[in-house]
Amino acid sequence: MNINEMISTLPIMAKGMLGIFIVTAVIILSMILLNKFSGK
Amino acid sequence: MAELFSNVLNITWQQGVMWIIGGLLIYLAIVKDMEPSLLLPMGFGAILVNLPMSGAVTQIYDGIAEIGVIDVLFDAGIANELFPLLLFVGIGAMIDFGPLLSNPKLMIFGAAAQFGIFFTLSLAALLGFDLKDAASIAIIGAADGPTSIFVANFFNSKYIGAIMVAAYSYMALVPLIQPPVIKALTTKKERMIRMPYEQKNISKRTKILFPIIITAITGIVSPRSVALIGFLMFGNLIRECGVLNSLSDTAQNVLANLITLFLGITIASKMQAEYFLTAETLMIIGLGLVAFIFDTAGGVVFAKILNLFLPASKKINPMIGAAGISAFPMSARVVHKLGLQEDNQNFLLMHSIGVNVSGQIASVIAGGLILNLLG
Repeated sequence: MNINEMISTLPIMAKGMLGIFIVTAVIILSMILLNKFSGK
Repeated sequence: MAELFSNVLNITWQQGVMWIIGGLLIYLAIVKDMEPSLLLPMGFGAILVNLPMSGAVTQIYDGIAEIGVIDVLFDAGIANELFPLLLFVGIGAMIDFGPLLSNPKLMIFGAAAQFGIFFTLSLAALLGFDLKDAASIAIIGAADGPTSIFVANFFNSKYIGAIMVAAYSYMALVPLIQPPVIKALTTKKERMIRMPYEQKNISKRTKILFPIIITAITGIVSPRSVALIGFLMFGNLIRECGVLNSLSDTAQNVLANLITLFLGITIASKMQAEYFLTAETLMIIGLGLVAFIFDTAGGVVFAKILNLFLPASKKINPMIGAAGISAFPMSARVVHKLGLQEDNQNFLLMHSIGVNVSGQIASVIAGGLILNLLG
């Protein structure tokens, strides 16, 4: 068991999940704008 | 005569075990219909490369290396990440992002369902894998073969064979893995929540601009994932542009089939007994399962958290969160079937498909972020 190595991954986990949510939020926003402005 | 059979003496018990594993993969592909397009070539390849002094892989004869064709294919298609990227062109051409474009907010579940990747990264590190191997193992949770190959190969992981076996096996096992996790995390009442689907017409212009915009956004934030997302979206642009139907058809069928054919048998080069039959392989198989379970849990729990803030009339069926893993379309079907089991008038398919295709994008973003954070 390598506790130190595991602890070193926690910031990566936090940054990774935060990163995915931020990119996703930007994509959602762009899709909403795209739907709004590119017509039906 | 003795010379003719001299190679028999080179057979090791480890190779025998690999023949059994190869036979098992072929059995699962043919009899159980589990990802046959990948597991069958991998199974046959596992036997091919584990024959004593197999000429399919590089061997040293009298001090001179004789390059095997499987190694040639590996160097030509996997070591430089070409095969997974070309496969993504075909996958992109197969996916209709319409259900996602109809309800873009669903994409948030695709993000939440990548939690298993990062949880598994920590767990693999705890079990003693170095960070880059841990990341390669964790990406099994992307539930997306090409991304797994791309990341594991980028980190030059020696476990790529085991990672691929785990990734493709668990994708085929989604109908068995997800239901117990979903049921354990939801109440019957939650599983019965109905979500009306509003059919929206998406303009052709939107469908054409979508792959271009996604590529630009993801490429700017996560430059290392731009090849992955770019090829996926290139395939989708060919599909949606309306003027390249012949190319779209080729990408969906001929290209995807051809690459899949070579991908499976080429991965087998990393299934030689000396690399594959290790305690780490068993740990990787176990960690892959953990990744799938926590991906599912991540999506479901996130939906439950969102429900705390939503009015009663707008509640989300938390099961759709589970479709955020990228295993397309198996995961969407699992959620739809579970919904029908609880209430035969509860049709969740369009919502779960939307979440499922968003998982395809989110898993690539997750792979890109892993490369950026650890590369």
